[in-house]
Amino acid sequence: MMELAYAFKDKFKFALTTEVESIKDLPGYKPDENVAFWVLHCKEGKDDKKPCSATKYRDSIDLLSLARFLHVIDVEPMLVLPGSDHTFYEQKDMHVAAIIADKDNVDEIKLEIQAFLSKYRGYVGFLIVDKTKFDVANLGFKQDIETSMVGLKLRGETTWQLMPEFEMPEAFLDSKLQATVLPHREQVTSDMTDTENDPVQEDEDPLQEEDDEVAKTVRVIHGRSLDHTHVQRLTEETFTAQTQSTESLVVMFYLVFDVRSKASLLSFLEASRLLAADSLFPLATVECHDERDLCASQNITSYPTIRVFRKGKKYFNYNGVRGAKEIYSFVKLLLADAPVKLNTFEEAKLFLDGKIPKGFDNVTDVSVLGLFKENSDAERKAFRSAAKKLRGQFLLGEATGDAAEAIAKTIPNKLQLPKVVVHKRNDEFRPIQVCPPFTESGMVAQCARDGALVMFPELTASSFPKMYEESIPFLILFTHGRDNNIYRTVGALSADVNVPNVNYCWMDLDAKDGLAMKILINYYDNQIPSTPSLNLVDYQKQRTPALFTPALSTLFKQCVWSVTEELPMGEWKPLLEGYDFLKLMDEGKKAEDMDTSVTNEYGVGFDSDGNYLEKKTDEMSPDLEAAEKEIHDELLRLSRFYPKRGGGSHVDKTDRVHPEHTEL
Amino acid sequence: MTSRVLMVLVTMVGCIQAADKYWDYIVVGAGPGGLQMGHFLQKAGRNYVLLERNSVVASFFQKYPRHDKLISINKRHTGKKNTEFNLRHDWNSLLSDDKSLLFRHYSKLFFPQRVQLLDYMADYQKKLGINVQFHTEVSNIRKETNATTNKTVFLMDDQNGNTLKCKVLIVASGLSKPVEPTFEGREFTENYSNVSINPDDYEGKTVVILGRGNSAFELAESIYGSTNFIHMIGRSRVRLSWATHYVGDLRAVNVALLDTYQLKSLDAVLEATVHEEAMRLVKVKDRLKVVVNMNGSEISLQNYDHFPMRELYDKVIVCFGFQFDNSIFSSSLNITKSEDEEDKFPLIGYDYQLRDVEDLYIAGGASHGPDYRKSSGGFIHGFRYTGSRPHRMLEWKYEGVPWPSISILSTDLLATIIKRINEGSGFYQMFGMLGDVMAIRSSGEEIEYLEEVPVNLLDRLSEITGHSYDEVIVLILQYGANYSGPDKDVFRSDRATAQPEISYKSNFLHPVFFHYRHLPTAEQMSSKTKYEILPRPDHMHHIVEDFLTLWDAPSSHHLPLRRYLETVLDRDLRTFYASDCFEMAMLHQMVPLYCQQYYLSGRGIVKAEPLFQQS
Repeated sequence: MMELAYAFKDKFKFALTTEVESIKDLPGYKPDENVAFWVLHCKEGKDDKKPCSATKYRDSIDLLSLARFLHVIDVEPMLVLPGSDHTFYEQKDMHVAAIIADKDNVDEIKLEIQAFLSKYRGYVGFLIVDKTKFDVANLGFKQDIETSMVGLKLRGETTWQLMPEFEMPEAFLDSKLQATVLPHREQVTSDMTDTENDPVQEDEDPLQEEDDEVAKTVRVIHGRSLDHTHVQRLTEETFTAQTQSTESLVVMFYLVFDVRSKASLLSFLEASRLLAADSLFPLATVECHDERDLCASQNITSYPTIRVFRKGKKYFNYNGVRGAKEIYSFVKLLLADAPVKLNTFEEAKLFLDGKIPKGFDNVTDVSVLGLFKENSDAERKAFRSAAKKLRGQFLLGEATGDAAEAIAKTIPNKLQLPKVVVHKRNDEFRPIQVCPPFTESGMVAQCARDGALVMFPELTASSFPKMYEESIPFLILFTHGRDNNIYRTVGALSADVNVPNVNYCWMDLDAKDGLAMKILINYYDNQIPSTPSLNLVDYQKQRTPALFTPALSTLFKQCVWSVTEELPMGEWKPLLEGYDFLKLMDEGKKAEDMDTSVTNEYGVGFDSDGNYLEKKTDEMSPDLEAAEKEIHDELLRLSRFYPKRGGGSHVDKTDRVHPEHTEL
Repeated sequence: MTSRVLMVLVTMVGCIQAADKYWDYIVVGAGPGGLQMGHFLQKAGRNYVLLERNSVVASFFQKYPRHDKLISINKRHTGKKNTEFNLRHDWNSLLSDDKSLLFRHYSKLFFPQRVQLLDYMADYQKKLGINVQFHTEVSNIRKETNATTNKTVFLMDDQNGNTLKCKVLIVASGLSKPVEPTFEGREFTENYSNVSINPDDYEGKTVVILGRGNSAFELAESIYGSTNFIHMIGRSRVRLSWATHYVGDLRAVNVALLDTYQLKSLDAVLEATVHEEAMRLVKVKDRLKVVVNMNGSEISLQNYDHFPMRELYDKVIVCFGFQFDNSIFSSSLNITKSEDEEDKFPLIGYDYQLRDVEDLYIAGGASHGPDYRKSSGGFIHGFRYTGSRPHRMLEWKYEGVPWPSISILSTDLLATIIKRINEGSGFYQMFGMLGDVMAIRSSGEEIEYLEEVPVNLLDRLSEITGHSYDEVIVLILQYGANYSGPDKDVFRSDRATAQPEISYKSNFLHPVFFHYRHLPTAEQMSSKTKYEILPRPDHMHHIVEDFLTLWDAPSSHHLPLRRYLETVLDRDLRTFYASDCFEMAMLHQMVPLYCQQYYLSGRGIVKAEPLFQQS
């Protein structure tokens, strides 16, 4: 709490109390709570006589959740559509409630909401939608949605929950929000040691409790059939014919028992559905337990292996991310013309803007355009060959003659043809990269790869590995969105060739996953720094490059900045030791040895010293003993069959040496 | 003139060829063992020949088994497509890449006929183009050292007086010689190898069968409907294959006589020593009297008036099985006689090399010595592997081709093992003898994986494979020790274990892992106790036996195995989604091995929701 108070000292006054009396009138007060947290909106309260409106904090009491709450507590709690950004609250990672109105009752509804609004501040943003002026389809509602209907979209979810008939809005919201007392996103602790209770797993033995997150999530598909509608399942019998008859076939070789195979298969199948929506069906699977010989002949030793076949021949392995979107984009780029022929200036222009070919705007942000004179055959040949090499990675287009000349004129520095330009629609600081003169395809490919790198990318799970590969330190700007000066300053710097060679990147403190804030807090020893914050981090070795160039020094004055000291090593040892069967076997053997030593030496009924073990009369109660004696005596009296103690035997001596018939 | 010189030359060349034929490898015998070895030599492109004294391959099966019925199962269906897995239940096929050469195409019978095996073996030789020289009976096998080069060569004679030479000799002549009785009166006996198989010849006869093996019971079953009764005498207890897990013991397909014995229908089984002076046969008119002596000849059991064999017999038939015929070796080779039971097998090491003679190997049924009564090396479904895995040793020793191996990342090891334990047939059939070896490299980040290595040679691993290793994990399949025996009920209610935490008590065939920080020494290998397959490892793991022998259960099979591998490698081997790897990478200098080997090289996994097939 002290850290929070420090971090938000400019925004809030913090008070601490142990006096129940002073808070018991606050909304949501519960006498049995040990800790509770309210925000009082006193600045907004115009009426001095009334108490300030208050919002009770209802998330878990930890630094990260509290910080996020305080970040959004003062955003406008209610917006009217049209007239506002309908994604505003989602961007802030808040729950969103939408109330449908028409032009006659907008104001009425506003007042109604106003009455209980403060209770939800920092959690729920309210959208009042005038359906007569705003198309509700933009929000994902049906056109015929009724006026006064309330919809709730929980944080991180994509669908609306609608208020049932006859329920009151407040009751509806409370019941739904109750279920989300803990934040809805995946919580991953820094050392990954939390082992949630798996409902399927009833074993108490911690060794048998799954602690592999991926294994845990693929459990649900164990023994069930997945929907393979849009992928071909190949067998040894069909494989050759299918790969040969298909221009390009992307085959996932996987193992039915394997966790990673299962997780990747889910992405692969999802990608197949995305592709099917584009009427593309180039995906196939081979399961390597059933199709053992096929996988062996393909030398598959890692599961899964995703391999591209062109006209029956192995082309290359897909070594990218096993995610549905990534596989979808890869396949789209793989199947696109390489290069795309652009006949006019307009076409070439649309190509650079990502409008041609159609349906690629969500696939790639990069267009690589070759501009050729009519007679530059050698360069064109190199470019076409590069286009084939870069299949699946980039979209390449080719323009010749007048169209090429016309495009060249639109690019600064007036290009001399032939030329290759790389256009990055996702790079606001260096959108155009012009390749140096080239003579062979390798140079084009290299230029495309280098040129496609975004100058100042957002640091995410997918952008990180490539930067990490560079083996240079990271300069990370933690900021709230990109609409600010510091973002633009660092971004501009990143495109400057004279700055130190580090990975310039940024992380969004407003991102839904809350990761940026979590990492930032971690970098500041679990304290919340003022933001924006600029951090130099070296993940591999602790090197501090000479950062104090004049440009950077000016920058550092504008924000909090620091060099992150040595990060914890992270040894990643096993969480638990496996079963020690050797020890168990030793113990078992010891027990057995003791057993046999008694019986072997003196026989059953003797102790280890060879003493006859008295009958268990010791344990027998005197009553029982007396009863047994009575029965014994009775039997003796009645029956001649009951053996007399110490009585002579009738067994003949010759009979006693009778050899055991089966063991001569 | 010119033509005369030419003629002389031709004659000379002809002479040299006839008298002095040389191959790098000679395989004696073209039975299943020889053919299997022949296939591997052929596949490797070696200079070799199989020498067969008869005019057909697998000629043993022209006569045996006498009653036509093979007892190796011909399981044509398993419900699985995996060819390697299916070999776990195919006991008659030899190994090859040709799918038409699977025995199930040759017979629909679960216990096939011997002629069907003959057809199969003939096709196997022809289709694979195995080089067999028929009508060649070798003898006088000897060794010669070239004084100048110090290289040794084997020489042998064929029946036409030719001398055949080779660098490496593989004897795959099988167990072809019937074991003969040695007791007094043996001239009154008949032998399994030539006894009548016509039940009519046993009408109203009283028969003694000496021997306790499958051939003895096979004979009994075929005639017991015609006889007065049959007494079977053998030295050992009746050992039922289903109890001992040894396929050479009495198979259920042959046990009919046990039924009539236990139901007191005159047939009977008893234990007695049947060799040497322990018994003798005496002719009493045209019938035979069995005289049994106890402890040599001191006390005659005939003195007891209820001696079990006090009646006279019409026929005494010897079914002692077969033994290796070592008359083909010259005495100059100084071959020690085996101390094995009944002297059946030649004395060989775990590398299948004759103990006394270097470069001389035994393949096929006669190579069963090292795993006699332990595993399946005496049968086609066993020696097809022990015939091929030593071939890999030969390849390294004589050709410089190392044992095949693949290199994988440690994070791929779990999946690789799970695949192997659910399909591998060599270590399934040759349980306790062959095992997969995982050599740990690059401080635990990489693994070199070798399949089906003779585990008894673990101390010599580098020497036999051509790779240098130190820290290894060995994976074998094994039955629980001490499962069956006198007084043990193999159908007891606790015969199987279901809990992973006590999987070391598993009784049925299950995977077992041995981790050695350093390879065991020769001394450690030789000082194993009776029930130890390998010396005490640094870490051991058992995967709990499974009713389906399908080790696919995430919690019971895979998770404990992962923990074992983690303990051995001292690494966290979990899989993570890209987002988790990213977070860990941002907060630590190091990331878990999976993130390092996959996520950081751009191959992370993104979580996706499953969509199930609509039923």
